[in-house]
Amino acid sequence: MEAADIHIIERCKKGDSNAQRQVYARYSSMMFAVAIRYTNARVDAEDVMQEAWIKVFRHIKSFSEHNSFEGWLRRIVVNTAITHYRRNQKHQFQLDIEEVHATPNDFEAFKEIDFTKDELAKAIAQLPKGYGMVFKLYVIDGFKHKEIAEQLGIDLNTSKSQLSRARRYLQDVLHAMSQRAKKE
Amino acid sequence: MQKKMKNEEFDHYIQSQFADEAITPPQQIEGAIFEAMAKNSRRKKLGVIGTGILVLGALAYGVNGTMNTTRVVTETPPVAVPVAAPVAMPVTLEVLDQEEQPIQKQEVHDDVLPAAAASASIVLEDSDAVENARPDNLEAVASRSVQPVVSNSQELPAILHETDSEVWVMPATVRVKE
Repeated sequence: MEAADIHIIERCKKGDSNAQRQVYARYSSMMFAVAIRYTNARVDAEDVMQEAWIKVFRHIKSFSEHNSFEGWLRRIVVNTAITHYRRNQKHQFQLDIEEVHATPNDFEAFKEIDFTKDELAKAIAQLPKGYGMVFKLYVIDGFKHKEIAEQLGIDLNTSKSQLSRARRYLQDVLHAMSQRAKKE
Repeated sequence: MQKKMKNEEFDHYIQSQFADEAITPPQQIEGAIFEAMAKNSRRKKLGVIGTGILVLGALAYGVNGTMNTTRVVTETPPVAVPVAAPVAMPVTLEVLDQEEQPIQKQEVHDDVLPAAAASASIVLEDSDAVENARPDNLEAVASRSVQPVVSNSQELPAILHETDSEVWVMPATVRVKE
């Protein structure tokens, strides 16, 4: 971390609102993108964003300069999104241990990975909620199955099962998108 | 053209695609965030002020309570001394002054010296009796010792009574050794 960043964070720790606005200006786009990725809705993302930033400034004193500030921010917005998701959760995950073992280790994907980020985001957004949460947490944000299970309040095997299903589902979605593109 | 890709490879590909994700948030969010924080800060300050007032109030109440307790304790000896000393002395001196006069029956009434009467109601029959009684009386006086007033500060709030003139009165129990 650069000295200038450390200085701004130190000022934020002292409650300097100018420094807080500087930090916001610098990282708000990243935070909002993560919030949108998890909520799939702008309105919900705005709620998550606001809640996450308030948490950031309230708990910034606990941040250690030895860690990545961006990583810390990302964790906060992800955790806030999970809380938001759980609050609005209509249905519970279904446990299916047998499918964990039935899922192949290899993923049928496309060699010509020419999907844009927006296309990938759209494909991921089409995943059923449960699958999507586990997939995003595991693949994009690097959570472990144990952490996912704790955060979402599910069984460890359910997390693994959801990830396998998500990969297969995403394969189908990407394949369909690819076929559509070829036709066009 | 499709080709098998390991899970790890696909995961890595997806992760790299989202590594530098950024979407500009609407302007009003910033205002809402800092407004909410300012509101929280104001609430926090009010909370601190309120807590401070409560603490000061509690301290003031505690100090006041301590002062009251101290006053009761310091007032205890004066309560004990006047009660014990005049018990016998006025009676004895009065008897000495009236040596040549016919001794009349003297009795200490409860309403005059309640504490003394409770413990020592002295009745003198005649001068001889007075003469004879004098050393005894003096001895009795000398032998009397003032029992310390027992004050239980824990029971203090329960036994304090407020009179109409806003003077706090503490009923005291005085024991005089016979």
